[in-house]
Amino acid sequence: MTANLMIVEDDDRVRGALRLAMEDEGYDVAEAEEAEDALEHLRDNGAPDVMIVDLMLGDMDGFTCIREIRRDHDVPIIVVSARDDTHDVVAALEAGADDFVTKPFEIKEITARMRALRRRANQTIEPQTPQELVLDADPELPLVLSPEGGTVRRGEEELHLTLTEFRLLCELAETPGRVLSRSVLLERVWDRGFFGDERIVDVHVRRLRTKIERDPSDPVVVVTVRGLGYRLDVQR
Amino acid sequence: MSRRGPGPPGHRRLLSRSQSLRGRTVIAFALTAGLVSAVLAVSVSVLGRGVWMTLIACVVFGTAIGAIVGLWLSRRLLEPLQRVTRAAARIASGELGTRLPDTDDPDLAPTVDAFNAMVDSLQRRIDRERRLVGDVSHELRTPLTTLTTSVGVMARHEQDLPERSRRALALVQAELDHLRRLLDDLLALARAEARMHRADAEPLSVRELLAHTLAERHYPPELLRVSVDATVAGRKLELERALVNLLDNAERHGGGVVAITAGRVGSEVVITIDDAGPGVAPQDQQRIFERFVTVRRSRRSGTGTGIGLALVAETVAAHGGRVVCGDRPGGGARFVVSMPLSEETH
Repeated sequence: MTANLMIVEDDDRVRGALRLAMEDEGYDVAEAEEAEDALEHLRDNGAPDVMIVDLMLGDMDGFTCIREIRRDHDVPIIVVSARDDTHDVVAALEAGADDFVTKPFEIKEITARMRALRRRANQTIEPQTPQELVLDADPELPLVLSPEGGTVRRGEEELHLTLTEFRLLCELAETPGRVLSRSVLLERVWDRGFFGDERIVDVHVRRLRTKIERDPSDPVVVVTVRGLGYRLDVQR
Repeated sequence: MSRRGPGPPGHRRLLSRSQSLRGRTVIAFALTAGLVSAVLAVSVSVLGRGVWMTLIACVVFGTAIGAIVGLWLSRRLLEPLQRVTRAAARIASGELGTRLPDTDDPDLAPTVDAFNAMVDSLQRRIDRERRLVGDVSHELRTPLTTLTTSVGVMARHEQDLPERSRRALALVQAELDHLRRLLDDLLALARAEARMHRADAEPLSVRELLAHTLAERHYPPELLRVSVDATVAGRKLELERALVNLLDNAERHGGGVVAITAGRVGSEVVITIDDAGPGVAPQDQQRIFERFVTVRRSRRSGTGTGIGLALVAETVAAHGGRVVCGDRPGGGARFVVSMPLSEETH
């Protein structure tokens, strides 16, 4: 089955080259030169299977573009940028991107990451994971994770997590009370090794906390263990 | 900032003078002198006839008073200097927002102003450099992306190309690869020199670092011999890059790595990378760590960027260590990296 890809990139030649390479890989490619065009396309046609967004766009900067997309869609987003300044990386991830690739990149690298993101989207959860896991047993507004259903609920309200945030939560929830190092999380959620960029984990944990914790500045469910990693504590 | 206004009334000027460093010093000495004289006068009148007794008493009391005042005064005098020292240390460690607080002391004000102005200028320069690295990065990387991507597509379909075009394509790919590595290395070096770090230092096991680096580059793990594992406080990606550059150097100029060892010597970690190539001539052993210096050790044409070893030197220095090139017993070159152990290792 052909997968849909949308490329949001203002430089004509880079966009052209990317289109060429991605079509070669078998993707059905839609292009947008500016953020506005991309958002319009999303409104008219719904979300593609994966998006590549350049941070330096003409009209709207990449961060704002991603945030706008995230308002209505869960689509996996890979951000590309020539700048790999910490500030840019963190800001892009905070805005809602799932992954970050620096230009110039090997086509193999970006397609591998796209495949990993899409695999997460279609993943069926292993049977060992319980049907539903109560993460915070608050009597009024309990936090309930349903890995098979692919949802997280606070009381009656379903929380909107991106694929990556959800996957990260499921990974932590598989071993409650146990510390998982950033390396391990990078490996399991992003298929990255020892030298992967750990900032991706940190930012995603931060994003997760703003969505599921009652007080994100004082997290009790997803806890940082200094020097070791992160741990999920079930609140009874 | 504290500045004295134009011609304040007489009594206020006197008061502000007494608050200044110079004022306080003058008053302290004056008081001491006065006090000692008073003691002298009192002892003379009280003890009267015993000249020696009077003398001894005066000396003892006078010295005591002088010492106490001196102690107090020296502390007050050194205090501003200590504040400057602390601020300087914080700034050197990267807290560029540090400034000395405003002071009402008219004698210290010029020092405070000058110091703060210096830090402002330093911060501006670092910000400018950071922006430059970012801009250059973007401007050069964008066309490189188009080139790399398009050539990648061509390479996938090289069967469709005639022989000559295929060879030309191979050359283009090789040169693009070289350009990309050159750009990466240059930017990394610029960042390292400006001490622009992208991550915090963390305790790293040297054994793990080396094992993972070797695995990533598909080297056989048997090459590595770690006598005692040690922990360094370092930035993973920066150290990986330095190690990879040393490995590449051995490949390119030394016919390949023959041994990598790591161990503890005193309070340092020592990592050795050996090759069995032609070695490096003694007169070049220091030069090779400079930018753009390539020494033809073998007959193969240089594929290096000329920056790899400069980056190694800079990275290792930023971690508080050093790297030297020497001869391997038995022939070849031996590169030795030493770095201080992290405090957590006992």
